[in-house]
Amino acid sequence: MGIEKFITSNTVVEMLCLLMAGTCLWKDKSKVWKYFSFYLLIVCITELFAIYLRKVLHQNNQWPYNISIIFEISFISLMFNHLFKKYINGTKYIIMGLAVIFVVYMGEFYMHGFMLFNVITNNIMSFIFSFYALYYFYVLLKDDQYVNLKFSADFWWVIGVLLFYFGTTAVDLYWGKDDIKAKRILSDYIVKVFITLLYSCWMYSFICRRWLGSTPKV
Amino acid sequence: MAGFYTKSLILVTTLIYLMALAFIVLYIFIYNSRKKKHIEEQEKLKSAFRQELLKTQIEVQEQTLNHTSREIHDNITQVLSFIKLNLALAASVDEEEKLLKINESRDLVAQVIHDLRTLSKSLSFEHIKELGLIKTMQIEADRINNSGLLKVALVIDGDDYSLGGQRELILFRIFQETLNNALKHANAKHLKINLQYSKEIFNLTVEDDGNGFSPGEVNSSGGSGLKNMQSRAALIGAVATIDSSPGKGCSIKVTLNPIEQQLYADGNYPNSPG
Repeated sequence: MGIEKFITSNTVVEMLCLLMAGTCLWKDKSKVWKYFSFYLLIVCITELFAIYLRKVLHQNNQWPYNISIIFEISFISLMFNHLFKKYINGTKYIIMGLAVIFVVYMGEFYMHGFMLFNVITNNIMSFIFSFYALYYFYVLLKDDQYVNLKFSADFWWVIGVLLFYFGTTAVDLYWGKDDIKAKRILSDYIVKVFITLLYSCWMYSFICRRWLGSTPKV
Repeated sequence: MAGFYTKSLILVTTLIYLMALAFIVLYIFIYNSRKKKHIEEQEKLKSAFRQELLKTQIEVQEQTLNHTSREIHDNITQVLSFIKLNLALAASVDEEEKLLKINESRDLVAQVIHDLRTLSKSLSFEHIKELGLIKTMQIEADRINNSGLLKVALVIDGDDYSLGGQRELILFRIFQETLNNALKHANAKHLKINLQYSKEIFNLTVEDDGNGFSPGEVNSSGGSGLKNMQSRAALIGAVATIDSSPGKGCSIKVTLNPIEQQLYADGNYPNSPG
């Protein structure tokens, strides 16, 4: 079992992000930011396990993502709830979003079982997170206080989310259609680019949180 | 063929989405930078207002101290000297006249006490806040009328309301400047003060029947007092209009919309605990 099989652009950037989160957020006063490192750890474990299933055991590797998506939905919703708190009470929107995603997830689970990836859940989740991100920008700009966006951890975290979930919409929408090799390669490249953008924004966000940002660490 | 079509569609859609995202981020940065400029401008205005208000307070205080000094010298000291003389004379006159002189002296002491009370009230500019604009102007008008320098008439139209401590202080200072001009430069005999209160507008008009002047001449020769009035009025969101011509007196009108609240004029003094 060669270790090189596990070194892909996705795993590299995800591990770097985990390392950065560990360095920058470990002593963070906010529990939401602090425990975000655990989510990144789950992402890395899922990615490595999926590679192991596909490249070593030559088995279907979609089902681990059906587990990790639960953590993805929870942690990102939790973080948005935390970010909204500075400006508005966004908990009701978050709970509504979670309810919708839960219903779709269970529906898909019922339709095609656990072994196939929950594409519709993923699409709905992407739409909801993109909406949260745009709504966050709206409340941020509407607020009377000025925030230096260049060094705002919150802002760069949301930019990462918007880039990834909004940017990969086209790939998500055509998932499984006209499944030729050329399309798969293109989709893979697009997803890789956006994953790199997502984790780069998040890494910068963690740096802002630890060293550059002037916003209170709450 | 269908696969190629889907591939192109994904690529084009993704590029469009990316451009849309870039546009959103650019818009956020531009809007945020404008917000920063706006906040900075507001801070500058607030700071200028605070400085101007402080200057106004000092000027009001100076004017009050000058008036107090004059009042003590010209009135109180004179009356007290007269009482002293009266009491000294009382020692050498008969009982009936002595009683008359003591009674006269007692009345004069009562008058001095009353004058001192009035003076002590005017020593602090806080009384503008406590008494309000109308009462403060009334006291000032009475003082001038008693001095005999000018005949001052104060007319109030409409139901009065508070304009806020800061705005009333600045309006009072504008009135003081107008009064000074009428006394020192205009050789006026009469001064009419009109305060008009309505829901939409407040007007302070001060008219004198003095020498008057040509506004053009004043502008070329400096006229810092009149410019000060206009800039101060602007600070509280009011407009000061000066109307005068040689030989026809002068009229200064300050117009203010009471509903329009200035961000920096909140109706409190900057050094007040509230």
